[in-house]
Order: sequence, then structure tokens, then C-alpha cells
Amino acid sequence: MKQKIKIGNFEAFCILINMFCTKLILDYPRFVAEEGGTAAWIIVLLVSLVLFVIFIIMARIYKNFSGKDILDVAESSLGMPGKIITGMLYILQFLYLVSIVLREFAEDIKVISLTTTPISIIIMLFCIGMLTGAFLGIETLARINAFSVPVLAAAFLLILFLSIPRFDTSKIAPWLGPGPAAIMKELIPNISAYSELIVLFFIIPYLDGKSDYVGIGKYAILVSGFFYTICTLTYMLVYQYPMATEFFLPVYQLARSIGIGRFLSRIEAIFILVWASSAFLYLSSGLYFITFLFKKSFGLKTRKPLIIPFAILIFSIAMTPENLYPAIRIEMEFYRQYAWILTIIVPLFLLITAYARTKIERRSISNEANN
Amino acid sequence: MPEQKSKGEAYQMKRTINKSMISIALVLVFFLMSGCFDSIEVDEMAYVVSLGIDKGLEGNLILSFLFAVPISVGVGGEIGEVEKSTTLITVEASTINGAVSIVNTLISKRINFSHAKLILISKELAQEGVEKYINALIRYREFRPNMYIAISRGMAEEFLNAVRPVLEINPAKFFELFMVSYKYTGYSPRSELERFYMKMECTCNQPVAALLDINDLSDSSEFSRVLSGAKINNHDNMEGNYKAGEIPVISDTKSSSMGLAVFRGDKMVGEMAGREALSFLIVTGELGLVYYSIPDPVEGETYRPGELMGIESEKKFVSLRLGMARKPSVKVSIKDDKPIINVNIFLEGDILSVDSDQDYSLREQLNILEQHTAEHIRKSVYEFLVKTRDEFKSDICGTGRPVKKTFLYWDDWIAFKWMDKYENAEFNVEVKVSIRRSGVMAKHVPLSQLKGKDK
Repeated sequence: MKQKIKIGNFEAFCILINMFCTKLILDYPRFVAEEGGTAAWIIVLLVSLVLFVIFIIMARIYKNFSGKDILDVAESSLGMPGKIITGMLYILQFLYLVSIVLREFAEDIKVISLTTTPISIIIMLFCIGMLTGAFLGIETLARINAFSVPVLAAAFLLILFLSIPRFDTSKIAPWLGPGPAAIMKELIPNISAYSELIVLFFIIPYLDGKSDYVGIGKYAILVSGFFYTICTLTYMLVYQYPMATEFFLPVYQLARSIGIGRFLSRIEAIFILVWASSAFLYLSSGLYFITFLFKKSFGLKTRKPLIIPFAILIFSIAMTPENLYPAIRIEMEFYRQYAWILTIIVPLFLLITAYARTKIERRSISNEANN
Repeated sequence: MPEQKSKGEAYQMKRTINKSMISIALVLVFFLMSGCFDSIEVDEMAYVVSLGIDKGLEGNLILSFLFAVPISVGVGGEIGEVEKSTTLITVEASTINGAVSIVNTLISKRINFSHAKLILISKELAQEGVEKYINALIRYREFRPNMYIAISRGMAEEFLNAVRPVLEINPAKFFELFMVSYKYTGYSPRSELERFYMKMECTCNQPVAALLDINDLSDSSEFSRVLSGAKINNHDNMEGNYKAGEIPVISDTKSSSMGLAVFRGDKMVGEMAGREALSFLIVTGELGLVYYSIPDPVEGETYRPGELMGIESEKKFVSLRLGMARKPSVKVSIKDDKPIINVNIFLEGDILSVDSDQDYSLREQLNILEQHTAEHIRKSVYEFLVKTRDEFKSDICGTGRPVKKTFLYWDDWIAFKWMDKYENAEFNVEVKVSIRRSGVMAKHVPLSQLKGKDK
């Protein structure tokens, strides 16, 4: 008999933290500095709080579908076509996310470390790790996340902590940057930074308790909100606006500039370790969820035969942008402007329609019974 | 039964295939992880310790690469030869990277800047603007953000050619220690590449860089010439009142670092002497622990300015070791569109030596010394600030930072134009000095009290 897949709460929490925070070590602080200027950290803080509130509302509605994942909800809402369409939407989202993150990681590695290695070889190396992770499945990925994420978080905090001597509060002044209206305007699009929140709604059936996802989601948003805020704040306190918009790898730049005495320098080596580990976990989880969604949407029996075809597809998409700039531009101008729709609006729509449909069905059943 | 047997065989077959696949993958990983594909060995690279940038002909640059020669620095426990620990290659090219390519054709190794410690730009070039060079350095990952940047009063090439580290065989370490001497001399600023770039791009601060030059005096008879040229005012001609290259010193190490180069935006607009660099460090709160000599408050009056020969016995000084007791407080208020800059400085010090017969262990005498020192420093800090305003029109101390904090919106701050406002600034400087210790002596019993004067 096949053993049922189980993921612990802490493991699920770590999956979410890694998926949220990978962007921090890529380019998120720079991206938000471009939009919010000196008030970038305020935007990040407010976005986390807004998302927290939205998640509580979503969780309250989701209570009616405990134990079901979002595809099951889509089926309850719109039937089998709805399930397939929803599945395809999220498959496309993750195909895009994984491909673009893969390309960005590979490009960044090429710029800072493997400068003469062809980009295709670097992407291929990442693909091997990604394939292995996806092949081993969600339980293994969850366990690896559970012991890696605390170590990676500690190393990340160390980099931020060692930057404290270079803090200068005048760098985040004028305090409201482009003004309250501009800050408010940026709130909703910036929820896209948390677009991987949808992963929580995929893994609900694997959790121990039926309502554990509420706590996992709340803590994941709060903790990653903390990381997002202190990382952006640290970056802005060290590099003033508009200089903060110039470095394409903000945390790497922070790590590179740390020099305490003659011995504590060149600590970016820690950063590269954190970075590569986080990337492997992110990409593996991403590929896993793509195959999981495909299998579930089309009612397939096995998932593993899908891994290699999807990995080839991801490799091809990752190789499509001619250079680093279109890859970053697409992400900034397109994905981060609209991804919040997939994270908030689509699940809310599915939940509300499924709830309404269930209620109508129940009412009609009770009416029939009464008649 | 046969069906069960065939199932078992299929399972075994699957396990064998899986094991084989894993073994093949592991073997492949060994090959991939060995990193031979594009590896460059350490001994295949030529490490630049300092890069000099001078103005060339027709818009070109003259680039001087000072390489470390590892074999001469020493191998293992063996000590190398100081004279041969570096080698200089100078080339004319349009860009830094173009020059790198040219030099790569001459030497058998590939140039690497990851251990470079100093970027030296000539004054002539700095006066025209350094933005494009700084951008190139910041963009290239091999140049580290905390490497040092300095301005050579003469040609950078000549400076690098003249540098002879005598007490340090490792040239990289020599430059590193040479550039951090500001911590215990106070005669030059902290001058790192990323800090320079940050201040260059800042809306409330202007950059500075260390000032370097060659000291080519060969005989002490030349001291009077240098000293007369280096005087800043009539009442104060003491150590530190020089710029690099004008120091009355004879040494095998020809390199000297004293004073600072003042920038407005990316252009160098002036020079300041070592004592002014000390004032800069005091106002910015970057002062380490430095030796500071002032005329004796009671007996220092006998010192006659402008004369050197034969009056040494009449010069009475008190030497202190000074440091910051607290971070300086810089507060700015705007009155009638004019910034009023209040600088509050609190220093602490130890007495190192007293030339006169005064006993500064007594409370009243100590008060006199503290007040005299405070007034002396206040005056030099005030004169320094006025000079940044009137002569250079450059807020190198970042006094605009507290003003920036009073703004809520970025557009308002940009429209305020702090850099223009600074030209009309008024300064109020207050200095407090607290003498904490007096070395290992509690008091001094002068010889004149025991044996009478001239005995």
C-alpha cells in the first residue's frame, strides 16, 4: 500500500519562507527602491500587512473547504473545465516564475563567480539540482527546506547585521519619498512579491491538521514580511536613493562591502552559499509544483514522467531572453504588476463561487427533500 | 506463482537500473564539479596592487599598473626582496579595460584586480571630473568597494614609480596600512572607493579623497624652504600643516599621504592640509586616536612665528592624544533661507608631554589647558568650515544630512537645492575637551624649581 504524503507545519512554513524570500537575494530591494525611493521600506512593510489582512479573509472563506486544495475548490466552483483552466493558469505562472528565476540566478552567477562559463552550462547545472529535487518529491523537499531555511536565514541575518556600522538614517530621508499617494498606488502590485502564497493552497491536503494552513500562512507572511522589511531597510540605510537603484544584486553588494577589521572581509562567500542553496530549493519546489498541478489538473496517475519534459521546457524558456535586461524588464514591467491577480483575485473568485454553488446545491437538495 | 516471480524480477531489474543511473550521475558530477572547464590557477594571474590614472594625449589615459611580484614577496617562510616586490607597467589607452588588454599582451599572466588596494588619480585629471572612471571601477566586480582612492598631486605614474615600501615586504599590505594611517595621524581622510561614489551621488554631501605625493627632499637643509611654503597662517606652524609632498622629512619611502582633495560633484576643486583633514575627521566623527600638539597655554606665548633657527628653546608645546568622547552633533536650522549650522564637538585626551614648567595636574591649570585646547580646536574647525564654504563651496562634512531629515517628500528636497544653500551657511562651533589622563606621571617637578634656572 502506498504511504500517504505528509508535510509537517514547520516544513510547510519553511517551503513558503524560501519561496517568498528568494526574491530578496535576487533584486527585490532594488526593484522596490525604484518604485518607492526613500520610502521603499514603508511600501514593503505595508504590503506585508495588507497581505496579512487579505490572507485572513481568504482563510476565513477557505474554512468551508478544509482539506481541499485550490484545484479541488476550482472543481467545486466551475466543474472539471474550471479545474483544468485553474491548473493551467498556475502551471503557466510557475513555468514563467521558475524559468525567469533560473535565468536570473544563472546570469548573476555568471557575473559574480563563473564569469567565463557559458550561460547554458550554468543553467544546466541548476537544472540537474532542480530535477533531482522534483524527482524526490514534496516530502523530501519539505524536509530539506526545514533544515536548510533556518541556516540560510541565520547567514542572511548575519550579512544584514554586519552592515549596521554603515547605517545612516539620513539615507532614508525624506521619509515619505514620492508621497503617500504614490506609496498607496504601489501597494497592490507589490503583493505580487508574495505570489508564491498560492503554494499553500496546493499543499493543504498534505498537512496534518485540516486548519493548520491558517497558522502556517499567517506566520509565513509575518516572518517573510519581517525579512523583506529589514532587508530593504538595511539596503536603503547603506545605499541612499537613487544610488540604491543601481546595484542589480543588492544583498550581494551589501555583503561585498562588509569589512570589519582586516580579517572580516570578503564575506560574500557566505552569500553565494546562501544564494545557491536557496535557488536550488526554490527551483526544485517550483518544478515539483508544475508537475503536481499538471498531474492533478488532468487526473494523471503519476507525476515523475512529466519532470524531464517540463525541465526541458523551463530550460528553453530560460534561454529565450537575449540577455539579462529583457529578463529583468519582463519581470518588473509585467509579472510584478499583475501576478497579484493570480494570488488574490483568482483564489478569492474560486472560493466565493464554490461557496455560493455549494450553498445553492445544499439549498436545492433540502428543498427537494422538503418537497 | 510465475506471475509473482516475474513481478519480483521486474522489481529487481528496476532497482538495478536505478542504482546504475545514480552511479552514472555521481560519476558525471565528479567530472562537472572538478571545475577544470574554465578554471584559472592562482599562478596564472598577475595581481595589480595599485592602479594609477593620468591624463594622456588627445583624451587618452596613461594607466600605470603596479603589480605584486609574489616570488619576490617571499615563498613560504622565506623572505623575499623588498626592492623587487613590485613592478610597474605604464600604458596609454582610451579606457581602463583597453589598457588591461594591452598589458595582457605583454605579460604571460592575466591581470586581476581582486587584490588591488589603491586607485590613484592625478590631480590634473581629477579637476576635469572623475565620474566616468569611478563608474567603471564600481561596475567591475574585481574592484572591491572598500579599496582606497586617492589623488596624486603630481603624476600618478611618478608616485607609483617612487613608492618603496621599506618596512613592509608585502606591497598590498603596505598600501592597505598606508591608507588607514588616518586613524592614528588624523592627517588624511578615510578614502574608500564606495564611500567616494556614495558621496559623489549624494544630494547632501560631497566627496573627498586622500592627497598623495612624492617627498623628494634629500637633505635637511631643504626643510626651511618647505616650511616657509607650507605655512597656513602666522600663528601656527606645526606638524600637520602641510600637504603631501611638502613635508619636511627625508626617508627611503618617498610616498607621503597628507591632506585631502576636495570635490564638488565629480570634480576636484581644491586641496587641504593635514591639520584641516584633522578638522574634517573631527566634524565627521571619524577621528581615531591622534597625537595633537598645541602651544603651551601659559608659556607658549614665547614662540615667535616665522623664525626657525635659534629659537627652538623658546617653543613650548603641550602634546596630547586626542579622540572623540562622543559623536559630534551637527544641527542645522534655516533662517531667512540661510542655513545656520551648529557643530558641537566633545573630545577627550591624555597628556603625552609638557615642554613648560607648568603643572597641569592641578585642577585650575588643567581647566586652563582644557579650555585652551578647546579654543584652539574650535578656531581651526571654524576656519576649516568657512574654507569649505567660501573657497570650495562644497559640503564635504555632510552637514546637509540633518536638513534632509526634516523633509517628507523627495521632490521638495530636490527643489530645496541644499548645495546652493550651503554657500550662504553660517557656522557656530562649540568644542569641549576633557583631559582624562596624564600618562604614567601624576605630576611634574621642574628642574628649575630644584636647581634654579640655567643650572
